[in-house]
Amino acid sequence: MSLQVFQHVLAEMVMSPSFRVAVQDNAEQALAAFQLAPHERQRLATIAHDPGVKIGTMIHRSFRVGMFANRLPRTCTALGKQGLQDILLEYWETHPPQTLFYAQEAARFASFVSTQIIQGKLSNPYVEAVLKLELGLIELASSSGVLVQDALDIEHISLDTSVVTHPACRVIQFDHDPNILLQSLNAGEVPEMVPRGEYYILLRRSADGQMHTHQISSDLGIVLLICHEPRTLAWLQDYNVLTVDNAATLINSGYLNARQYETEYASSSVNEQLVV
Amino acid sequence: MLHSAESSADIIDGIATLPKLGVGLSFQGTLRDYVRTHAHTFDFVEIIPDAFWNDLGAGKNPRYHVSEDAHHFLAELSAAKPVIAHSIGLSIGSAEEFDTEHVTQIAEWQQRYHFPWHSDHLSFNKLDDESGHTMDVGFTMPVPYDEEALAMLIERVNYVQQTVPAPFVLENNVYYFSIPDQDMSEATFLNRLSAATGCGLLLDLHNVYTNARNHKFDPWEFLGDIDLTRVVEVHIGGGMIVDDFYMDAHSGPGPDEVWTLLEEILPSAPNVAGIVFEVFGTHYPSMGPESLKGELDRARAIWERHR
Repeated sequence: MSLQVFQHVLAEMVMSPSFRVAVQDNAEQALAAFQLAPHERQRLATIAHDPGVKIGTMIHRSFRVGMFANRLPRTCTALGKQGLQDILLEYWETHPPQTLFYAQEAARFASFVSTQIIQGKLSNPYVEAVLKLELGLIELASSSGVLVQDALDIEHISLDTSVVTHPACRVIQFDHDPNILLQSLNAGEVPEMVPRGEYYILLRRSADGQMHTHQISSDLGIVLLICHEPRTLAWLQDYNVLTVDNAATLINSGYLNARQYETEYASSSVNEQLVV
Repeated sequence: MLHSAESSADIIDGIATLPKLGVGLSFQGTLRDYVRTHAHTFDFVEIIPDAFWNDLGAGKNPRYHVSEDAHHFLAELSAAKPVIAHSIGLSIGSAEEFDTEHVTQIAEWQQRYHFPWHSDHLSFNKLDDESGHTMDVGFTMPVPYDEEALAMLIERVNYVQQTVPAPFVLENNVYYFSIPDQDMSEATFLNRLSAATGCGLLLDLHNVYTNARNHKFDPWEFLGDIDLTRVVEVHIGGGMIVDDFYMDAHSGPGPDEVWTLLEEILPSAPNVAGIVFEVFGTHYPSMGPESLKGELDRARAIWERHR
């Protein structure tokens, strides 16, 4: 038990510089809460002053950054070197490591970045959309199976029918030209000037598991974005989003689903044709 | 509670009779082309099995997901050259509950790809947090060289050897900070662990060089005390200086001092079955194929002088 506690405290000193400083300043107080043997307490007090622990912190943080950089590379690039460094400093202090899984750690970091944006603490013209795009790709990649294409009789669609965007699709709205922006970020650079406008990118996972991204019209983008949550056709018609006829076309094309769907699916296909 | 070994005699014999594979290359994803185009420059490949699977966590069933592409690649690789496994996921020094599922996974892969031996690191990197999540510190943390840790490791090494039907080899650690007032030296700890269990040693000479340089001791203070007859495999790599520390970064050619150490220890290490050169995938592009070939050729020249 004592060795286990010793390892936890040692790891904490590596992962948290503020804890290490606390042990340096007053080991007795900083270690009081831990059930350690006297010689372990003395060892930890000595190790806290070893400059090599900082190297451990650097390697540990490089490892964690690697998790984000692996799953959210364009978001990291869009943040810029200084922006990434600033946000990481706050993240390290408030979010101790919880997991060794890249996707989970990336999702935690993404949630932190999103909160920073919502709270107005992060001001960056590109990060919000790029983060949504990369999270969408992670979500689609991790969803197992594909959609059951219910033999929905289009003739039976009514205003009471509920529709939702096909689960193999995500739509992301961009306020800047995504082609120029993503091309630059893919090359590891933040573009200096990107034309502003209203753009929509469709992410789609095909039946063979491949990811596809392409720009779609604003009309289709708005419909699919609104239908990320289930909507009745009556609601969509009342708000002038979609007519029943157009809904039938989108259902036939595989962009919308007209039924509740399940976690495990059987087959999937989404037509490439743009229909609105 | 883990099982204790009935006898380690067979395992000791296993180390002495291992096939002498020669010069190996530590595989990284960015080396795929090199492996295909420069197959004549190495005799075997060392893989990090953990890099080929997606570990969903202890207790998940199935826990390990492996893509068909990964299995296809490894099947091709193992058909062409001997493959050995150098895992980074066991965390055998963690005082938490021992990860026997990881050992079972290694055993399954050993049977599938016929590793002549397999290895991991004498360190810990995984811990459970308060909510039960497994977290990874991200590097090989030092285990105290104490009687308590030795007893724990003997039990675990015995379990690994009973579960995986191939000799198990443990790598000496690289450490950037020292644990003071330990019960014994690193060399004594490794010797006693190996003697008690019959496990082999993976002597990473770049780790020895890095430790000696950072902590200002003569590498022979360690090498002179280690039982070199227990060494099955040797690692060579390169490093770089960061913030006044020399890092085991696997970032390029091995320092001349490390090659000299290899030349010096081999006559006293009769059971060495392979010398592996390591370069991280992120550093390979700057190193390039010619430089990598040069390091493997250098290893081969030394190997041939002493075998």
